[in-house]
Amino acid sequence: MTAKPSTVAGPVFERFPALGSEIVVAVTEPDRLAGVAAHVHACVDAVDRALSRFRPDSELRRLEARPGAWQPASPLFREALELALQAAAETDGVFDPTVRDAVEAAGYDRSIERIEAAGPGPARVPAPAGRWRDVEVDRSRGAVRLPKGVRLDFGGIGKGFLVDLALRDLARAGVGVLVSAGGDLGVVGPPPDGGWACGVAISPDDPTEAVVILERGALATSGLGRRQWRRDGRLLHHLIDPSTGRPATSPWRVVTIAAPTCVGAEVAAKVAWLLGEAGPAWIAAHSLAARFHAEDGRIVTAGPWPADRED
Amino acid sequence: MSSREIPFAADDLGAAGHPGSAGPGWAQRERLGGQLRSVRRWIIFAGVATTAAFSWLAVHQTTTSAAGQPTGSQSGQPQTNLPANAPSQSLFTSGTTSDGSSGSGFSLAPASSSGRSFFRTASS
Repeated sequence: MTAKPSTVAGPVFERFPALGSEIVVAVTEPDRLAGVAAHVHACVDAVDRALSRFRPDSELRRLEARPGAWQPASPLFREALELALQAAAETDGVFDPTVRDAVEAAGYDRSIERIEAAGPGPARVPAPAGRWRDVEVDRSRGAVRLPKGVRLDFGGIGKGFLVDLALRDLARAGVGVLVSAGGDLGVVGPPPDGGWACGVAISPDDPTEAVVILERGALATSGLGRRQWRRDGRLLHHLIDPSTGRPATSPWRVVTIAAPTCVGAEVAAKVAWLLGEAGPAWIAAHSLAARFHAEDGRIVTAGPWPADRED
Repeated sequence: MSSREIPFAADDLGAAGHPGSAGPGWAQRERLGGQLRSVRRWIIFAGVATTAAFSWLAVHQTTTSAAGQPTGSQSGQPQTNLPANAPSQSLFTSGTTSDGSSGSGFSLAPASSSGRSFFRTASS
């Protein structure tokens, strides 16, 4: 893992690969970069050890080895699990952390880097999800119980969780900080002059389509960006319809959300994409702001999202 | 324990008689009667204990349910029902403000120009 410190007019930043994405750490005071970046590195490592479905030694893999039994779980794992279950409850299961088998049935049973290099996993019969209500957490005993036949996927919340975790301890550091995990980003502290200028793009390889100034809160984008592949000529991806267990369809190419937290933005972006044409109304009802980029090129905004500039 | 409480001790085991005039069968009946009395005492004790235990459990469960506390999962462990006990603040409205205090909201504004941005959000 190689860090790449960079300096620009204004904030300074460092970027490094992790969690199948690029992590970016930016601060408004150059002499604080090393300390903040070290903190973010530690958070990345902690989240990866707890939630990764690709690491054989992760806490998730340990817990799912004994389904049906109460098992001790770390505070970090329980916090992520409770947030995922809360997201499922608040979205009536449109966001579902138990889509793991369905995601793997679509071929995403290996890291996205391996899919890009060697193709997706073998085809399996998809099964509907929806059993998030059966997952139990016992706060008093610090234990969780994963039902038999249910496996968790934190892919829909993990990057946002990492960003919020890293920023939580930096909120009182007295320095402006931006942390991005694969394009899901959040900021705390006094922003740089002119605010944090954040571009909006379909995928990391695509050109910037719009620029907004974020002074507080978080941004996240979901949709058919990098995590899609083909099997037998058919396009597959990681955004699963929990009711069918199959990759969903949507009129949107990507959806970008502004929210108070990065977890909230990440979950809302997926839900708005999955809801299709009902997405903008759902965003407005939840007092969020969103930019929808439709497959046919339309740009639709919801809530207080600024209109794209024409220049 | 009086003989009135165990009337069968003599009547059911044969004719009562003077110990001194009893043959070998009397001693055997006496031992058997003692064993039956012991069994009966244990049955009565177990019945009373079971009744008391059920009464206590019924009262305890009523109390904890009324207080809104979990009454236990199938495995006997206390359980957090997450949807019901989830934080009252919505996932989409909670947050940390720029000054570090708990609060809600985000601040988004249009860029003064569509110039270069060093940070991007994208579907990765």
